[in-house]
Amino acid sequence: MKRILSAGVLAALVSSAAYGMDFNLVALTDMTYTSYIKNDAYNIMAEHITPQAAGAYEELRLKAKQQVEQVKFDFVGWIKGYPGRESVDYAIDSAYFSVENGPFVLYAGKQRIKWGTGLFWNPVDSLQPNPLDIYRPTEDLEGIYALRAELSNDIVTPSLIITPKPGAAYKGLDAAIQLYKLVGTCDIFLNYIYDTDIQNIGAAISWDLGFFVLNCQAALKQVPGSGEFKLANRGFNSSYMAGLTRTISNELSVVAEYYRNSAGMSNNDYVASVTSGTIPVFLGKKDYLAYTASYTWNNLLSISFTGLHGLDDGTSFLFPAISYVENTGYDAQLALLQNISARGVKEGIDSAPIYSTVELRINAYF
Amino acid sequence: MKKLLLFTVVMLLAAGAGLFALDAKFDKAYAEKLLKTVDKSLYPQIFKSSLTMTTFRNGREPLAYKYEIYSKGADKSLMKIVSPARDKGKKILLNGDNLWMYMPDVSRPIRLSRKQAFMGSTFSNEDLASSGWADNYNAEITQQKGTLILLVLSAKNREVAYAKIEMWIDDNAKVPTEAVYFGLSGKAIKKMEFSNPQTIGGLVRPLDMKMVDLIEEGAYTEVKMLTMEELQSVPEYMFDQSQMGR
Amino acid sequence: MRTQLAGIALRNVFKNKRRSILNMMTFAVSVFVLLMGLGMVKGQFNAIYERIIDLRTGHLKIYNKAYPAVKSTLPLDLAIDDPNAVVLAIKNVPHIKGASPRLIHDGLISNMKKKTGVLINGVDEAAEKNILTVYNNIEGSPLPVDGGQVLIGRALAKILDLKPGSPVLLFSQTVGNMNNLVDAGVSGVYSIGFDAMEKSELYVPLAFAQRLCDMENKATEIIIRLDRTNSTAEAKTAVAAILAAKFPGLTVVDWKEENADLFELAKAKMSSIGTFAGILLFLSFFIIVNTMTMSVFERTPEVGTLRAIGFDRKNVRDMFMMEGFFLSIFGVLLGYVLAAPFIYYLNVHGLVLDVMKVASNSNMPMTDVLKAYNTPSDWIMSGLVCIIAGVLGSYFPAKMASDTNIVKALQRGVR
Repeated sequence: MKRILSAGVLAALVSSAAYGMDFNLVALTDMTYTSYIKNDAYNIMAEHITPQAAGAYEELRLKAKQQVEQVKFDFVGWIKGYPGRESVDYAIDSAYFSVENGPFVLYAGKQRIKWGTGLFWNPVDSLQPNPLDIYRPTEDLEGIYALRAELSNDIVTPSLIITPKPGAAYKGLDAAIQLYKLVGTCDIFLNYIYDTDIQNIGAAISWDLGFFVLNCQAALKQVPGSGEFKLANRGFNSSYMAGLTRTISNELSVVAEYYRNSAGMSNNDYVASVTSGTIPVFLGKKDYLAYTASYTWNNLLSISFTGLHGLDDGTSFLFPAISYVENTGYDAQLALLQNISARGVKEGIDSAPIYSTVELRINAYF
Repeated sequence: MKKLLLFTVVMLLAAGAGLFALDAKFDKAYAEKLLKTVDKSLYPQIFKSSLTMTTFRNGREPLAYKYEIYSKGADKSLMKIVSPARDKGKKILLNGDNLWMYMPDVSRPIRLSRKQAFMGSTFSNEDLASSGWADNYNAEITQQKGTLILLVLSAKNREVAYAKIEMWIDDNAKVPTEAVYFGLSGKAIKKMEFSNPQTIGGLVRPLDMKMVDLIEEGAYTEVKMLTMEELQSVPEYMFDQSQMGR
Repeated sequence: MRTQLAGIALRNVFKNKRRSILNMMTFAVSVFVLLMGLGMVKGQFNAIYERIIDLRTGHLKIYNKAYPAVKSTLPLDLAIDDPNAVVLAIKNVPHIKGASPRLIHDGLISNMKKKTGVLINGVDEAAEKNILTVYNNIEGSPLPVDGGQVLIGRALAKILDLKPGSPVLLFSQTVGNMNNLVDAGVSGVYSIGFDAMEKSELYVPLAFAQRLCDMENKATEIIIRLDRTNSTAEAKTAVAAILAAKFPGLTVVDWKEENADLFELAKAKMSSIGTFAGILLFLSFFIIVNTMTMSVFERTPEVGTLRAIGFDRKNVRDMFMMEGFFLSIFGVLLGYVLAAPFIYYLNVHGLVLDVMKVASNSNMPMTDVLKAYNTPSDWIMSGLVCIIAGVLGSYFPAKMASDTNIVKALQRGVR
C-alpha cells in the first residue's frame, strides 16, 4: 500500500511536470518523544489506544497549481508513513478550481476557507471541520467542499459560500457570507454562517494603529438542541477574541491573544453537566490566553516561544521552539511542549494527559 | 618652420577640441528632454514585472529572491515571491498605509504594521520607486564618447537625496548605462550599472541593474528584470486584501 | 475557635519537619533573592546617573524648544542658530564650569571594507575637556578645531580594525536630507570601559560636522557642566531666565529630563527583576500547592475526623490556609536572617569591579565600586509578597480538603 501510494505521488509529480504544472514538494521527517501524566484522561485514552512514548513519521506534501487563462486548479495533498507500519495515512487538504472574470471569482471544490483576524482563535470561523493546531497556527488545515463566489469592488467585497453538509443525509446545505471593507487602516469583516448545527454571526477587525495591530472579533452562536439529546450548552453562546500584534524589528515580533468562549466549559461546568446527566456539546474551554514571540537571527536561526493558558482552571502549556534554516532548501525545527499546569488541577476532557513532548522536524523543499 | 609649428599646434588644438566637443544638438533643452525620457523608461507609472533580486555582502551567502510585482503609482504594489521554494507563494500587498502578508499555509492575509514594516523599505527605496529625476534636477550634457553621452544632473535645491548624479546614456537607445550618485561633499556614494536594454511598452528599458554600495566593499544588489510590462491599468481587485488568495 | 485552629495549624507545621523545612527554604530563598535583586539594581542605577553625567549629558543642555519632544529622531532642522552667542550669554551664570555647542546626527562610518551605524558628535574638544570625561583617556592626538578627523571608541576601533592615522569614510545626511559622504582620518581612540558607547559614538570637530550636515554656524545643543550635581536646579533657573530674555526659541533641560529614557530603562530593569521574582514566587506557589496537596491527601482521615466532630468546611479550609501562612512567615524570617549579612556588606562596602573588564559588555556605564541600595520598604515588600504567595498557594489544597466527603474520608481512615 505504501509503495503504491508513493508511486502514485511520483507519477503525479512527473505528470504535473510534464504538463507544465507548477508544483512544489515538501518532504519532512518528524520525531517525537512524549511523556504522559497517568491521570484519568490517560486511562480513558489507554483503553482505546496504546500511548507511545516515541513517535515518528515521514511526510510528503505536494502542492500543485495549473492555470489556463482564467481557470486555475490548486491542489494540496499529503501522505504520511510510519516506521514499522505497512499502511500510510493520506489526505487531500485542498483540490479546487477557480474561475476568474475580472473582479469576480468563483471557487469550486475542496478548499481552505479561513475567516477571522486572529492567529490562535477565530470565533467567527466555524466553517473549519477541524480545530487548528494551536501550537502551529500557521500550518495547513484540511479544507471543506464548497462553492465560493467573491466580487471585489470599491464598496464592499462579499464572499458567498455554499457547502454541502458532510455525512448528514437529512440536512442539505450550509451557507455562509462574509462582507469585507477596508476603512483607513482598518479591515472590517462581517460574517454569518447558516449551519444546521451551529449558526454563527460575528464581526472581525484588524486595525493598524501604528504602534501595533489590533485584532478583535466577536461572534454569537446558536447551538440548537437536537431532540434525542439533552444538550448542556445549547442556545445562544457568545464568544470573542482580542489580540495585539507588534513587529518590533525585522527580527522580532510578538502576538498576544485573549479568547473568551461562553460555549466552552470550565472543568467544574464539565463535571456538573456529566453529573446532571446532560451531554455536553464540547466546544473547548471558557477562557484562554496565548502569546507567541519570535526572533530571527541572521536569517539562519529563529527562536519562538509560545504559551497557552487556560485561565479558569490553571492548565498551562509552554512551547519553545528553535528553527535552523540551513539554506532555502532545508530547515530543521526542535521544539518542546511542556505542561506546567498546577498539580492537583483536575484534567478537563480535552486536556491531553501529556507532561512533555520533544519534537525534531526536518523539512526539505523541492 | 614657425608657421609649421603654429599650424601643428592649431591642428592639435582643433583636434583636441573636436574630440571633446559636443554635437551642437546636445543643448540644455535636449538634456532636459532626454532626462524625461529616462524617467519614463526607468519608472513607469503602472507596470507588471518579474525580477530576481540578489544581495551580495562580504562573508555572507548571497540572498536571492524572485518576485512578481504589480505596481500602480507610488502607493499600490502586490509582490509575490516566486522562489525559493521555501517562501514560494508568499505575497506582500501594499495599499496606501496598509500592509498585509499572505502566506499560503495560513490561507488568509495577516496585517502587518506599516510603520515598523520590514518589507516597507523595499517599496520606499528611493532608488527603485522614486517617481523620477526630472522634477528635482537640472540636466546638462557635458561629454560625449561615440553614442554615449554624459548627462550631469545637479540638484535644484538641497532637499533631494543626491547633490549630483552623473549618468552615462546611450543616445541612440535613450537608456542609461551607468549612474553614479554623489553626496553634498562631491564624493560618490553609490553606483548603479544598467544593462540588457530591451524594448518594452514602446520604450527601451534597461532590464538588469547592479547597485554597488561604495561605502562597503563587496556589497551590491543585482536586480534582473525578467519581464517588464507597462500596463494601461491594473485592476483594483489586485490590491484588495480579501483577494490575495487568488 | 480561631486560636484553636491556629494552634492545630501551627502544630501541623512542626509535625512534618522535613516538608516544613523545604517549604520554608523556598520562601527564604525567594526573600533573599528579592532583597539582593532590588538592592543591586537600585544601587547600580545610582552609580550610573553620575557616570552618565560625566560621559554624555553633562548637567544641563540647551535645545531648540521643539527639539526635546522629537530628540530620538535627531532632527537637524530644529537647531540653535549662532550657538556661540548663547554660550557667551550664559557663561557667567554661577556654578557653570563649562558650556560648549555641539552638533549631533546619525551616520555611518566605513573603513572602505565594512560599515557600521554611529552617532556623529560634532564637538569642540578643547572646551569639552572641562565638561565630559570621555576625552581623559585617549590614544593618539586630540581633535583639531576643524578638519576631517574623528575620535572613535576603543570598541569601534576593534570592530573596524582602525588605529590613529587610519583613513575612514563618514556618511550622513544633511539638514535637507541630502546624502553626504566625506573622507576623514582617525585622530585618536578613546577608552571609557563602556562598550555600547564606545561602539556607537564618535566625535568630530564641530566645524567639520557643520559642513557634513550643511549646517554652517549651527548646533543642535549646548552642553553645560556645573561645579556639582546639587546645584542643578539653581543653575537651571538662572539659565532659563537668560534664555527667556534673550533667546526665546530655546529651552534648557536638566540631566534628569535628559536621561528620561535611562529612567525608563531603569524601570524596565526593575520590572525584569520583577519578572524573575515572579517566577520565583510562582515556583514557591507551586511548591506550596504541591506539598500542601500531599499533606491534605495524607491527612484525609484526620480531616474526616475533624469534620465528624463538628468542624465545618470553612474551619477546615482556614486551618490549612493558616498552615500556609505560618510556613511563609517562618520562611520569610529565615530569609531575613540569611540575607542580613550580605545586604549589609553590599550596601556598605559594595563590590569592587574591574570596570574595563567586567562592565564593558554591559549596556550601561558602570563605576568601579558597585554598591547596593536597600531601603526598609524593600524588606517589608519582599516579605509581604512571599507571605501572600504562601497564603494563596495554600488556598486550593485547603479548598480541596474542605470539600472532603466525611464518610469516604473516614472509610479511608479505618481501612
